[in-house]
Amino acid sequence: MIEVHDLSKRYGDKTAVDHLTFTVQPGRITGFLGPNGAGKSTTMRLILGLDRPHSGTATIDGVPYSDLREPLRKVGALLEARAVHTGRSAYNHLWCLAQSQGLPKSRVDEALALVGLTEVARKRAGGFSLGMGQRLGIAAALLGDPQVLILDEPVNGLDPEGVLWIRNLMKSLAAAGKTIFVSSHLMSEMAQTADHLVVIGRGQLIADESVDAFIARSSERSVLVRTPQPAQLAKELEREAVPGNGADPQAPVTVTPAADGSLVVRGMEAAEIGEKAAAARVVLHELTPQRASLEEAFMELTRGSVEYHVEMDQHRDPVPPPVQDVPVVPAVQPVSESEADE
Amino acid sequence: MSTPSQTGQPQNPGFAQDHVSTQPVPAPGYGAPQNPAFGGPPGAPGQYGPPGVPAQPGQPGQPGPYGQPGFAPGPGQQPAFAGPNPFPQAKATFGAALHSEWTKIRTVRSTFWTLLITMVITIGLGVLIALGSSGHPSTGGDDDWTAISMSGLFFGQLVIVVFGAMAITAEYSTGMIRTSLTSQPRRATLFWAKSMVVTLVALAVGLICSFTSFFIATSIYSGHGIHVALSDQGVLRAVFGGGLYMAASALLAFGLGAILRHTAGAITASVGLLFILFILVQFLPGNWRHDIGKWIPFNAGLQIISTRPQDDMLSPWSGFGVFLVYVAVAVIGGAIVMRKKDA
Repeated sequence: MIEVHDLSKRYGDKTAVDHLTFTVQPGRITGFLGPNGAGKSTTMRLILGLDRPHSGTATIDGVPYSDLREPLRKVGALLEARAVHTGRSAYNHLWCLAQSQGLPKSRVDEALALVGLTEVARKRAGGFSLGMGQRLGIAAALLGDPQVLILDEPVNGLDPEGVLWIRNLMKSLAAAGKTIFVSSHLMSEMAQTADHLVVIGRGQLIADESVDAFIARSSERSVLVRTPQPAQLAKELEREAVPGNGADPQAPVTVTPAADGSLVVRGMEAAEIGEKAAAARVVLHELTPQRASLEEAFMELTRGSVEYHVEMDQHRDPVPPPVQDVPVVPAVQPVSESEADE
Repeated sequence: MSTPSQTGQPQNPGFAQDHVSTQPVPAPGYGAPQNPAFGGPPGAPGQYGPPGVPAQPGQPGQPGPYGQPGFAPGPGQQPAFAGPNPFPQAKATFGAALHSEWTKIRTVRSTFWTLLITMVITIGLGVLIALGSSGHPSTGGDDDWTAISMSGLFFGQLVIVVFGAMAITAEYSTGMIRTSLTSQPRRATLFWAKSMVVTLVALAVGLICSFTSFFIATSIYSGHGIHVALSDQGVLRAVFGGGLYMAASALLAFGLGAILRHTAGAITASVGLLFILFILVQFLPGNWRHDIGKWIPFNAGLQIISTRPQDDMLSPWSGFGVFLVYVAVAVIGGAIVMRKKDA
């Protein structure tokens, strides 16, 4: 279990981590999300004792990292793929780490085999591709068979099979009762992997809840409608949008035609749309409620705390404006990814 | 070791980076199916948990990543770490840190090259200078033949500082320091283990340099009727001191490397302190040069290889003691920076 309490870190006058408090429980995968510069890596470095906090504490099973007597047996960390001396071979890299804890040499071979680097164990780590470097980092994290895994962007640079492998590895380790704390900027990956989310923005906690609860907080919900009479249906539905006509002023009904001829309706439940269509004698081919994806929920809930906007989006409104024109992607994962999972 | 290309993929067997398949067959090599230590479930070699069937929390039958008994649970076994500790010896002690640092230093090429060049330059130039000097002894007959045999140290120290500095700065430039500190979070332990290994390796190389230079030089001298032996007054101390000087130079650079965390910066600072400062002092007015000159690191430290007392210099051991003060300032400064500053 990782406990972070009132943790703060400033670099100069910039606050990277701002009074963060959260707990990472064992037996599940906790995803750590936040926009670029939100302080994810800094938080992980603070947990590992690499940086000193200005206030607060971070402990592993109640003990600060720097007080661990056998750190690699307790915690395995992947901070960045290139936290490796480029001139040393993969084998020797792991061997010097194993020696620092008195771990047997057999663990080095086992860790190399586990990540599939046995064939290149004697090659210099500097010549490794990004994916191989990432595997070496994961091997180092698993070297002591730790109870807690802290992984910063573990799927970076991995090929699709490597991604699948690390996902299954994390799931089996969580099932074995270990604590998994993993950051990623790939929302689709997190949606498939994480059980629980810790979301931060500008160093502050935005959410510490289950993936479902996080998505449910998003207001971005819509209904996909397919009909051979889109214009007629749109007219019927938009009649509801007139204020004073029973429509909720907070969520006015909008009907957006999609490129493939379907309609995306916001502000009205699927049942109501079906009834209106029946009343107007409009034929419906499809009526699918759509929930925001994790990505959309993330975008919406972190909008106020994005550190580095792209140029077209430079406003920093304290209150997020309602989303109007963003096409809603089905909550179902894209076909290619769901195939890869089977 | 296992050969991961069990599924018949001749190219890139261990990584399957080019492996494109419509079915996500587990990549050969991911789990090393032939390795009994990590044997996953028998029907699904090479991965942990069947794909598409994510492991559910609270389902203890899910095979863990390590099939080895004692490592983690197999099907139906108790959860990980409930059993006896498979590594009862696993403690991050100072001795373990020494082992680790010794492995680190001997497994990078830069160690081999910097130390080889140190020896070639120190011994080679020492022998050349001894060869030249012995043919042309000074008229006064007060040549310090022992010190002349180790003249190569003047140049060899410029190379061994590269070794000393890189022992720590390379960890910062590659990011390895963060991995090192997660394996040994007590920074003082890491720092002193590393400095001890650097000092001992540099001392061994320094002694090889000074003794080899001395013995080759004395055999050259004897051809010119000059006889110097280790048993002569102060000679053993001087030759042994040559090795000490090299070790202290490397440690000075190590301390500066820990302060600056930058290879080029640490080497420049070391060379500046040892060599440039010496040159600068030569341009001071006469009496200043006399008063200040003997205190600078180069002049103070190298008194240890002198067998003839010099009026305007410190005595061998007090000179070397002054040199060690410089070294101690750099090393303690490095230890403080290591302790205080974020990695």
